Amino acid sequence: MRSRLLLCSVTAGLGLSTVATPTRADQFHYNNVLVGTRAMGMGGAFAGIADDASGLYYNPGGLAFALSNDIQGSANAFYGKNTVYKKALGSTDFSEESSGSLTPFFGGLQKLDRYVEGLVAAFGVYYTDGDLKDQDTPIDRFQIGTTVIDRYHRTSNARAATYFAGAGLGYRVLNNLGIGFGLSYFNADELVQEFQYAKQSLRIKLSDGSTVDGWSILASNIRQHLAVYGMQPTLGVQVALPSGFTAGLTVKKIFVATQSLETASDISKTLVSDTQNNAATVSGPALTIASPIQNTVTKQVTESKNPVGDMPLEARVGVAWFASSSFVWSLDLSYHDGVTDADVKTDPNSVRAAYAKEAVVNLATGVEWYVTPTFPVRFGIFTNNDARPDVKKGTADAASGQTCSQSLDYYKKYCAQPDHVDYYGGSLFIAWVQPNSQIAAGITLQSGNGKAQKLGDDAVQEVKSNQYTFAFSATHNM
Amino acid sequence: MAGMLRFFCLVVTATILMPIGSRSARAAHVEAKKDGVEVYADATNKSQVLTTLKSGEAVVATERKGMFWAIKTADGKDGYVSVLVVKHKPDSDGTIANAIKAASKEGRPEGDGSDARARSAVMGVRGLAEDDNMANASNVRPNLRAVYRMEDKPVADRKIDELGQSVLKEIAGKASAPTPAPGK
Amino acid sequence: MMILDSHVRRRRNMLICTASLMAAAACTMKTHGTDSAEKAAEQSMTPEQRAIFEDYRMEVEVGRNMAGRLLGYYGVVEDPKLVGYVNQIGSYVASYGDYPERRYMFAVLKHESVNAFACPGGYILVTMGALRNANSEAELAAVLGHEVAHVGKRHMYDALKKMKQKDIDEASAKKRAAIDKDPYLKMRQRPETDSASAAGSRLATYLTGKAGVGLSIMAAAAAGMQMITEKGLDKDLEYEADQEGVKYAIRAGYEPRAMMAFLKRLEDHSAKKVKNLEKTHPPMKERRDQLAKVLLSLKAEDIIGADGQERFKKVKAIFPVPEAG
Repeated sequence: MRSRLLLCSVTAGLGLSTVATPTRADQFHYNNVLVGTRAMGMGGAFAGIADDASGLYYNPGGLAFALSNDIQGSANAFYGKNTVYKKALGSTDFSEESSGSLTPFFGGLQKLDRYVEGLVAAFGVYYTDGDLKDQDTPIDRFQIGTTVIDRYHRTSNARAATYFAGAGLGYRVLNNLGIGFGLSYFNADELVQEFQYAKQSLRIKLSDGSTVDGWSILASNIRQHLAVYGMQPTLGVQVALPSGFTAGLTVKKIFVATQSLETASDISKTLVSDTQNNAATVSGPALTIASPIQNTVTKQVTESKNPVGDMPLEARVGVAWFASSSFVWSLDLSYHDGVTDADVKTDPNSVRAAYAKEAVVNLATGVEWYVTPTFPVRFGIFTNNDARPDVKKGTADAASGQTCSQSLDYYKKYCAQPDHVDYYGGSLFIAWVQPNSQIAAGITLQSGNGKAQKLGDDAVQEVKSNQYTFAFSATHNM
Repeated sequence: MAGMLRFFCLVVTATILMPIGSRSARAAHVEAKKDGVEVYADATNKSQVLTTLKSGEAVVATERKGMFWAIKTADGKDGYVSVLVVKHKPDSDGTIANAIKAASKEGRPEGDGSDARARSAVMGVRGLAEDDNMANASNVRPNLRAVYRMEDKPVADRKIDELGQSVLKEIAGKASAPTPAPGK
Repeated sequence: MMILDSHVRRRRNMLICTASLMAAAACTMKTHGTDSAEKAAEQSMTPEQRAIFEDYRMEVEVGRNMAGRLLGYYGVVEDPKLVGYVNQIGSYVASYGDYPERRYMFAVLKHESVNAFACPGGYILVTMGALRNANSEAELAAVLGHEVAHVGKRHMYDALKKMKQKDIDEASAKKRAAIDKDPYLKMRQRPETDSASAAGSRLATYLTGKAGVGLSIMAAAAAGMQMITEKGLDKDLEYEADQEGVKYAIRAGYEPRAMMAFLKRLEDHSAKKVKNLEKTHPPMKERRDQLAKVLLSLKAEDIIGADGQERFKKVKAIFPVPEAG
């Protein structure tokens, strides 16, 4: 009994379930965005500045203060991410790595003073996150408790991107006040394909009392595709204060138009007896299996029409100080509200549980310093907190029936919780500025600590994650 | 410093170059085209003839006066020769031309000029809206290729001589033609 | 502000001296120069001579930059016959000038305004509009002579060198006037890359490997552009260029009254073009008065000059079609 349960829980916990956990990219992290040649060097603290094409994202009110028409784009960004779940598999750490390249941003700004004094238009196409994962984890012979797994092999391929395309207008209402509005089309797309294979050798005790050596083999193939489409209106305001200060406020929210999550999975559980005494390594405990030996194959195709639910509202407040023509400092505080969902409470396997988000507050601050008129250095630090709830540690009590498998209540509270990793990050960029153009290159680093429950039970692993991104960007003024 | 340098220069100049002459703005020479070129006391062939020049004889010429060159004879006298009977020889000893040429060739980047040097010359001003002001000429990227093409097309001496001869021929033609009524 | 002859002569003597030393070491050997020969020549220079040579190099750099901007902005006429003709006339007139040892290079700009630009280093640009306004080769020669005089006497370059940094900053500040008027935009401006900051200069030197290059040339070129397109030189310098240029053309054998005719025709045809020209040049009437004085001193009424009509008509036939606007 116990062994079987263990076997199930092991295999289930190793990610084998009908729901592949959503791509850990950063639907749940809001502050790792490489939008804007200047903004990305300043940690993304740009709501008080926002006077170029990237203003559409940070604060359309800032567009009204643009100095000139511009076109900008991040030509390329290369990133790498490494996440370690400590001691997830017995005493072995479980690592996930991903890397890739993406094109975070392309946008343009046009001053329309010729038609309406003080009017500015902007457009932008940007990726707020993207992930390409190619994971291959083969492990031979490891032990969890008293269960010995001969071989475990998981491959996971995922691609995810969150993409906006939109346009906006900024208007200089007063000499020192700009307001702006933007509307963007939104698309989040995640495709995950996972294959898992686990082989456990054991002694099978048949109902007639005889024992036979064999293996239990679990194989699963899961494909999961999440697609969300929506529109995101943005309202922004920016005011110029005395002594070179500015303050900005932006509010935006994604309204989901359609969303769907398609899952297709094939899971097969096979018990094989080693009738030919073929090197079956009998190391596991005896397992009583009803005769005849049964093998099962489950096929499942589901489609959920409301997997994600609502998207959070975002509010961002920023101040900036234009100390001189060669030095700017800026500070942003952003708030995303939480998305709770009734389904979570009633159905523990509800897909929504996987996408539930809590309110998050993030801070970013950055400086731009022109060392020479041609070479500015940009530096920023920021937080990137996780929108998923904290992982709570439960104390299982088999006697009172409070365990993951025995109590739904306990399961919902303490088992199979999503990861929670809070990051701190910094960015450092240098640019080469010419009178009509500039190119910038630099690096953004994030480091995070947190907790996870990768095994689907109530065991909690420490998580350490690091991410680096190299980015290039160019701006041309006209 | 200026005095020292001047002295030094005078010495060097004297040994290397033809005498520049401290009074005239330039050192150009005219060369008699034939024997017996008259040097007049004034800018008119009705004035006294000071001396004559042999064919090929060169004198320093300064300014034009009417149809005459103001010249200095070998013994330092001021006189005038008709422009129609002398050949002009500008004092281009080539050294300055070469100095400037070297300066420009040296500064020219390899290839088509699109290297750091040329890029560092990208000009313009951020933040101006367009208008039809000529001042926008400051705001464009220099077309250095066109500049290099200017540098690479020197006019052959031969062509300059040809033109000079055509011009002189035209003058001679007009001079011998009946004088037209005075115009503007 | 007049440039005194003796001042000119002294500089010129120094320059000839310097250059001749260099020539003695290297120039007679080459037209394009070999690196080692040039290096030898450079090494044989005293600091003063080197300074003068560097000054010429600077002049060429600034002039290139300015000429490049004008060529970039107006566009350049490519027709080799036309350009070759202008070069031929210009070089011919320059050979009768006071500075025949310099290099004078000519290009034709694709613009219908009547104008000509003399950039330091000998880069002379004349517009199609100016060519069209000319009725004869003599008139063209007079216009080119004017520019040749500017170059030979280094009017522009000397003016730039006399400009203090403050003036250069003022010149670039004027360019940003539209934004300077608006305090909330002005505060967002990033530093002007044309201005020569000490650190930037050092960095530019490090990157380009050449001393004194980079930002200070850009600053000078920017100020030069301002002068050439907006402010204009001191009017005394313009008179001098008028008069000297006419002298060169007359010495070269051209009809002495050509410049007068050119200016008069311009005045008669287009008040707008005159207004444009008078932004950077003295008023027409005064120019013609000053010219008349010079012609008198040269006994121009006795001079028979060439028109070059035959050649000019042939070239006129290949003028490109005027661009619209």
